[in-house]
Amino acid sequence: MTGSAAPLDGVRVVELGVGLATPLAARMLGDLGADVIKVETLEGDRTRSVAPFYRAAEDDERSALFEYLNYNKRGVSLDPGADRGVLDELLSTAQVLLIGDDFAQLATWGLDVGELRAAHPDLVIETLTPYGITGPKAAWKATDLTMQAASGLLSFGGNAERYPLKRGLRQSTFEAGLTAAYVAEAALLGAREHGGTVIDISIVECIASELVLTIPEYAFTGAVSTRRPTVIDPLSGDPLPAGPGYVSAQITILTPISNLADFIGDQRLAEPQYATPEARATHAAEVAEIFREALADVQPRDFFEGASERGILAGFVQTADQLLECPHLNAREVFRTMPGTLNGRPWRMPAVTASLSRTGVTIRRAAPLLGEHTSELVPDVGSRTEAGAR
Amino acid sequence: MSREAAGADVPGPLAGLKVVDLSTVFAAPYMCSLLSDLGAEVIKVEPPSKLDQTRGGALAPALGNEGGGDGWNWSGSFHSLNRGKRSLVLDLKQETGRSVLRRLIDTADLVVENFTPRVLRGWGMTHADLVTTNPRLIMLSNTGYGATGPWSGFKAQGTSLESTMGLVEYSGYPGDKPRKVGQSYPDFLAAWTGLYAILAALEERHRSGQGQWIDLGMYQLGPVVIPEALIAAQAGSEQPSRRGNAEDDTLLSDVFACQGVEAWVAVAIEDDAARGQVVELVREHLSGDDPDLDELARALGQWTSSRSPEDAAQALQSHGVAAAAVAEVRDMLLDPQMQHRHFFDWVDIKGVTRPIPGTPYVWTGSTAVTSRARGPLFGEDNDVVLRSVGLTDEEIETLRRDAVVVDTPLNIAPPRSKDLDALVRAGVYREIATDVDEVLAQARPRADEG
Repeated sequence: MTGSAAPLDGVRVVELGVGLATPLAARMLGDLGADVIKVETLEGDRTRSVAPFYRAAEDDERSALFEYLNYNKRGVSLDPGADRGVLDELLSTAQVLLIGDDFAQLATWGLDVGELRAAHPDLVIETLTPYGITGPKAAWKATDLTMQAASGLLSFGGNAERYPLKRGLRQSTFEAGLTAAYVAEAALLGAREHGGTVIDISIVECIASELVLTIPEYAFTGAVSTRRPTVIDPLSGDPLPAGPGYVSAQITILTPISNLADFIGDQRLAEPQYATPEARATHAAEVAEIFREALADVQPRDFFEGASERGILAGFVQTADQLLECPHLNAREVFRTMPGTLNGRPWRMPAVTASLSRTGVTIRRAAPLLGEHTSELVPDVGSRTEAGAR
Repeated sequence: MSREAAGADVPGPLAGLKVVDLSTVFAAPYMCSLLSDLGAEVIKVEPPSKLDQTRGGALAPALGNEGGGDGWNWSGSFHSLNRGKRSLVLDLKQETGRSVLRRLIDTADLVVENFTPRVLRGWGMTHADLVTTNPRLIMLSNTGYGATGPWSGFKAQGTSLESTMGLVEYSGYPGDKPRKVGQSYPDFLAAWTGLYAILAALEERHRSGQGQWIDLGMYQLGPVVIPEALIAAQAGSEQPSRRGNAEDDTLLSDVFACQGVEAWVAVAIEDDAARGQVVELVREHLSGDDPDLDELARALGQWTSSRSPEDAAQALQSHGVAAAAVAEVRDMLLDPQMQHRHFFDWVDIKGVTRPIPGTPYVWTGSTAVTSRARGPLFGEDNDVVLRSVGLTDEEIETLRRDAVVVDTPLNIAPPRSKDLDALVRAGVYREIATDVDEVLAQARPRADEG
């Protein structure tokens, strides 16, 4: 990439964010060059206390997850009761305001989006809360699990003989954070001609917007999706044991099973009783056994690379450790070095999502300490509270 | 009945943006429809003799499960993923077809494609080629592994990528094997990330006047969604294990069976206050006042077993406990929250009105963001689009005569109806609901509500 001005250079974003999704969305705007100011209460974003902690300096430990979600920002801490006027002044210098992940954030800061819009007609105001800020469930409490449940996703996750199973870790964060980032950009583009907007995002609906097959299956044919049966075609992408781990393979019209039989060196797989997905589901145990025998001593990565080189749709289950060492990701410079040390060593996190030919992503600054830039940005308040807390 | 959806006449924030969509299946087509929701004009260019997999086949639920005829026009997934677009059917294997496409791209702001990289190189239509006549052009290429790196030549689909991307390792029942959860998560991560990159390129173009190329490899989105695991790996702390529905930051979280068939409620007890509330609620099933979490979970399960999921969730929420019914699509359609927010968009398909998943936000301002229209019929806009790039009626007639432009798929049998009962027996579907029309009638907003 060649040096061109960052896309959001000159755009100021104020973030009233606690949790994960809103901070991620704000950081992604910061990655594009926006001047992001994270405004926290005197207690600070709760993510600051999430372990493990990295070492920024002697006697200075900070949450690694908070760092990942909050670099490229400056930080101000305010007392919502006493400093409301200061917040309004700050907003009058901003083009975007992000509020979330909790519905209670509006009450904490005494904000009414209608009044905000009237006071700042050119501002892009985006809220990001579990159910949205209007409607009978707006104030409902939520976690990643309950949001995956309300979104419809959970109803077909897991095994038919067991119970609904969520996606691992905290996926609602990313579904909502990525959505909030792009929608804010669209609103900014529109604001040049059409003025500000209020965008009330529901995290539950972000997940539900994935159901582009499940929703029409019901609405167009009456078919109700459910958890996967125990006996399915083993060659439809689900993890299969191989050596010390798991691999996956997917047979399609363009990648016939004979290619896979050749590759694993067991022609039984090419026999006609395994030719169709239905037939393989019927003979699932036999297909799995052929695989188990053929791949007993195989490294999952070797299977994946060898099969892929032959044009077979293949995968292998990777851990975080493997991803960090992945030669492909490293060739694409996906990971960037983070500040300080973690467990005594430098540490890296993913920083590049899509590669733009003329616009790079830079990590310009570490996540702010609580109130680190209060004096710089709002001097009146800064003289009252000084930076310091983790 | 009209092609346009209600409210489509109010311009969106991206009004004036012209998009040429050469992509198929999920990720990239969805990107383009979400741009259409935002007001962009999107032209989907389709080949004459190969249908988008969402027009027919396993990924294409046809209206009323009807096969035959022009079944490629009535798939619900196609209308969800291609809403608001126009369709031009053009044979790009012929040089004449490619020259029409070049004319179209010369008038466009953005091209989105997910071909195997060698295809556009072979046609001399890479971004570097196209900017020689349209320097403002932005182009997004969506591939499995991106354009560089040792795996860039590998084939990929969402399903095969998912394991390799990392999240599968951290999804599953306690002590059990890794599991893929959901349909094709990488596709949606790619759709949202792609939009983030496209809009960044548009912002940048405002300053520089120049377009740029976006290399979107889905695989590299894997690490982005597992930061906790990446941090744990480098901190030398314990890796997050597969542990069902147990969450960080909660004392207890799981799903509990309720009264009814496949009726479940998800509950998360986040702190001692919530724990105390649940103890109060389920007291009749407890032997003492201070149950451990295992006993509390067992009692909660007894309590939920005589309630509907929604009643259980309401009761828990009214005591300040995070809970939600495990919703199926029917429940979502009838959910007062989603109804209040008009989450579903409604489009007219072949004489009836059907819901598709809408935008996950309520947008208030002088612009509107909404599904602008149903998806296009195969080749529905051939004439309109061809005229828009200056072709005369005679030239268009010649293109049709040479089968460069066609109005019905060439050498493709109409999609067959699915054997839904067999799919129920195979466990793909739980049942085929017979009351869908009643549910939709109840769910659909009345005209006066917009």
